[in-house]
Amino acid sequence: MSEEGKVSLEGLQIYESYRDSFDALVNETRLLRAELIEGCRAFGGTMSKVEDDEIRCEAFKLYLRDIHAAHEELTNRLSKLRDDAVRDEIAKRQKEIDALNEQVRQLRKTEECAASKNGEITSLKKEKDSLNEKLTKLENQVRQRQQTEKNVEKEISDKMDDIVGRLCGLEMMLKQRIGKASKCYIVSSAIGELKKEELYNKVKEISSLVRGVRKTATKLVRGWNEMP
Amino acid sequence: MKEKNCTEKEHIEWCLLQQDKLRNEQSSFAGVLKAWGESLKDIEGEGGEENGDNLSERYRKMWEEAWETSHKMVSSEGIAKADNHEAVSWYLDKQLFLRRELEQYVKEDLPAMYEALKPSSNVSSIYREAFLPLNQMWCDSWEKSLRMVTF
Repeated sequence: MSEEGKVSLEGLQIYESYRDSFDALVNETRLLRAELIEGCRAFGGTMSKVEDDEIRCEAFKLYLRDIHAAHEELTNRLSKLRDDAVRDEIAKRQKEIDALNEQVRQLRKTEECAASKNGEITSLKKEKDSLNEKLTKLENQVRQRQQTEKNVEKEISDKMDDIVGRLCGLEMMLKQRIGKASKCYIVSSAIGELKKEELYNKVKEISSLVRGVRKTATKLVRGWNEMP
Repeated sequence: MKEKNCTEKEHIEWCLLQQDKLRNEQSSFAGVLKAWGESLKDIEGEGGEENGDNLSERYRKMWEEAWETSHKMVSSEGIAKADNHEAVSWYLDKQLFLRRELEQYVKEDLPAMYEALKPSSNVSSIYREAFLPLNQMWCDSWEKSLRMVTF
């Protein structure tokens, strides 16, 4: 289709809205023409009595002036009709364009909002990933600590067993020592029954013997050393 | 105004019918133009021949342009589609209406006016002065109206 054809198609759509107005104006023009013919007949009848051509012509021109004026008015209305239709159509289209622009603006706003939300979502996802990572680390730490606690518990348990074992040993030893101590106590109790004077004399006697042994030993060592 | 779609075959038949109508109108309108030119010559007398020829030539061009675009409109690549027959028909009908109006004006109204205004003496140059603007006026009017219903 030619460029002209495209424009015409647009025209076809535009002028649909004012067909009635056009029909009315064309009919008015038709009526005006009929009126003119009737007027001419009447005028001709009257003017036929006037012999002067100049007067007849001037009178006819005067009559035509009104018809011209009426016709011009109709013609102007015809022109205006088209202009109005185009203007109305343009205004209508402009409104549609404005409405669409508004929709586009809203959609862009929504899009911007969505982009912002997406940014937030991305940021939140990153935060979530980071938290998950931290959580995993903490879980690992907890597991390690639990393991350590188990190990410590086992160690404590082992040590406790060891201590208990030792205590049992000590208890046994203590019992033995207590037994020995009891025996010593019995001996010491028997010794305690001896008189202190006697004990002193005995000790003195033994010390004297020891000194005598030491002297003899010293003499023997010296004599041994002086031997060639 | 959304019209009911017709079939491709119906659309082609409709286009061909419109083309046929246009051709018939074009052929008969040549006679109307000739008659109009002759009328003007009669009214305007010896000097009116040129005016008559000019006016009929102007009208011939005007209507030929209208027919050309109308033919294009209903041709296979035209803007007439299966869903806009009613709208296109409106434009074609209006063109036909204007041609009928012109025909009536040429064949009936103009002679009637001429007769009504005809003085007892022969047609004088004074009447030509009055008639020429009158014809011009209607010619302008038809042209404007025709352009409004021509693509």
